[in-house]
Amino acid sequence: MTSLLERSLGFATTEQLDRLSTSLQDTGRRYYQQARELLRQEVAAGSLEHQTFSNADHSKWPGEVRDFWDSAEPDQFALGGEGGSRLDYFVRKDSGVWVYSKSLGDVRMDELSSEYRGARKVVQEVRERDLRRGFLTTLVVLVAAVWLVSLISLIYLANRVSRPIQQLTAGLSELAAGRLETRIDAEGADEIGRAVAAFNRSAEELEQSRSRLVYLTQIASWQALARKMAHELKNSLTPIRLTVEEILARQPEGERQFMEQASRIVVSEVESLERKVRAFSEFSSEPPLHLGRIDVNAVIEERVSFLKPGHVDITYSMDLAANLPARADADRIKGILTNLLENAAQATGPGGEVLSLSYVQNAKVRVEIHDSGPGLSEEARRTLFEPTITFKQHGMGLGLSIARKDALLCGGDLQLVEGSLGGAGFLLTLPVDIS
Amino acid sequence: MLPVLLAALLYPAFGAAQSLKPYVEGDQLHLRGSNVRLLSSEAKQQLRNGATVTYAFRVSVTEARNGDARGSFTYHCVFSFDLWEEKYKVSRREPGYRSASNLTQAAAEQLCLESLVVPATVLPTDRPFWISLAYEKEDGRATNNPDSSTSIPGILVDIFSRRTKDSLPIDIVESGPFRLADLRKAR
Repeated sequence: MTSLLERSLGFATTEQLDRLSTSLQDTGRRYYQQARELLRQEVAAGSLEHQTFSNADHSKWPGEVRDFWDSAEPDQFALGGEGGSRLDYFVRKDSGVWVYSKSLGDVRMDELSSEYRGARKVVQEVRERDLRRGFLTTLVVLVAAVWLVSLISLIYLANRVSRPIQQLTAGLSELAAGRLETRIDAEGADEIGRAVAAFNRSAEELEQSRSRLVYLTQIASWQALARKMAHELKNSLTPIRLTVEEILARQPEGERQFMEQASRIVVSEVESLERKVRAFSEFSSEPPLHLGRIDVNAVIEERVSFLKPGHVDITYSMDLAANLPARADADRIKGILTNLLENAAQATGPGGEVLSLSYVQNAKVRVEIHDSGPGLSEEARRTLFEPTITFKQHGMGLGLSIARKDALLCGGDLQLVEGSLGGAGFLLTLPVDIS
Repeated sequence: MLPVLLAALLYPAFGAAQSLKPYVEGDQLHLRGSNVRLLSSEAKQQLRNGATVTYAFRVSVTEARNGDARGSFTYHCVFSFDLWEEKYKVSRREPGYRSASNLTQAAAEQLCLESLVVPATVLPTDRPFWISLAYEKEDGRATNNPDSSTSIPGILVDIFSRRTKDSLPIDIVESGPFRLADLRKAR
């Protein structure tokens, strides 16, 4: 705007320049005519010497003399000298041209002409423009531009402020509708950013809690089913076994050999079924929980020492952070670690490696067990913690489901993580004991 | 009698008709104008501001009014004005013709016209012909910013203050028919 004002003030002087240049030209013209009249009077009075250019030397005449001669006029005035500081008066004679000269002093008419020409050029160029329209339109354009930029900035700022709030509101609605996997992209570290981060944390915790609750509910259903099945099977298996033994006792000697062989097969199968019934009974049993302060590192070391003799060709390594008191049921943690370490040993095989880690993160004691085995397939990863599924040659496959159930009951969790030794990796989290 | 009276009454209102009066001198046809005023009021104002004004001319020879040209010749006359003597100077831009100064406006215009020549070789010797003179003032109006500025407001003012320039008019004077033999005799 300042620049615009300066320019408008600059153009305002054009009118003055117009008047000044016109006045200058008028004054210059009057001065010239006065000087011309004086020169003419002096020539008439014979008080001025002249320079003669005779016809005999026509070829040597200067250009201005020749031009005058060619013009056929009786006399003529012209400016000469440096910058037009001399007035020449050409007079035609029969013998040639007489030239009278008179100095104009310090006045240089040609320079005056040049200055006047420059001034008029500026005036003309300015007059060929519609400056009022130019300034007005420029002012309107600049104001509109400022207004537009302000509006765009305002819209941008309003959007920047309201968008996270809208996202937060929408996220809360989604959460209220039960879609706990909803997350919001957190931006910045301001109040809105912190609120979004808090929302995401809450949603994650809610989702984890729901997942745990669902799992525990499923486990409870499976436990009830297992208990019922074990009871029914147990009721049937005992009479079967007694009856087979009675049939064998009553057989005559001649047919006894075949019956002994047949009864061994039946008894073996019954014993197998009884083992499975015991496993189901153990799975369905829910002994009381005894939460207390436990030294996680000590439990890990004790379990490794316990299992090591059974797997002498496996390398057990540990990286345990100091001072890791957790609050959990010691027996159940031992069971979990035994299951994980035994599974790892079986998966990695002879010459393999099992790694145990422990550390604290986000107010949780974390224990990781990694093995160098072949790892788990996608199908296995998906159904790993479901009961009655086995991936081993021995056992019922209930171990991991029981282990996760126990971890959840202790306030922690058991999850499958990326194995750091190329095989499977499990993460056991337990609450830190703050007492 | 009535048409003559009407013509006499209307003559001052519409102005005298422009026409060309060519003459042949040696092996060249020269032009002379009757009521042909080259310098427009805008041109005269520019001259009085000390600027030079250039007019472009195209002289064509045709065998019929508005017919195809047998030959066309382009010339430029440069006019200037002596601020102190208040006299005109004229010169032809194309070489071969001397300039003249200390002239009245009419004399300067006439001298310019006479400098527009057509070689007699392009003139038909046995048929009548027409002479057409088209002329226009070359654009000497300001095209640049008088106060060149690199600031945005300055550039905007320059853009928005520009007036829509009317295209400069092209004046055409056509006269005829002439015969070469008559022009030689007239001279």
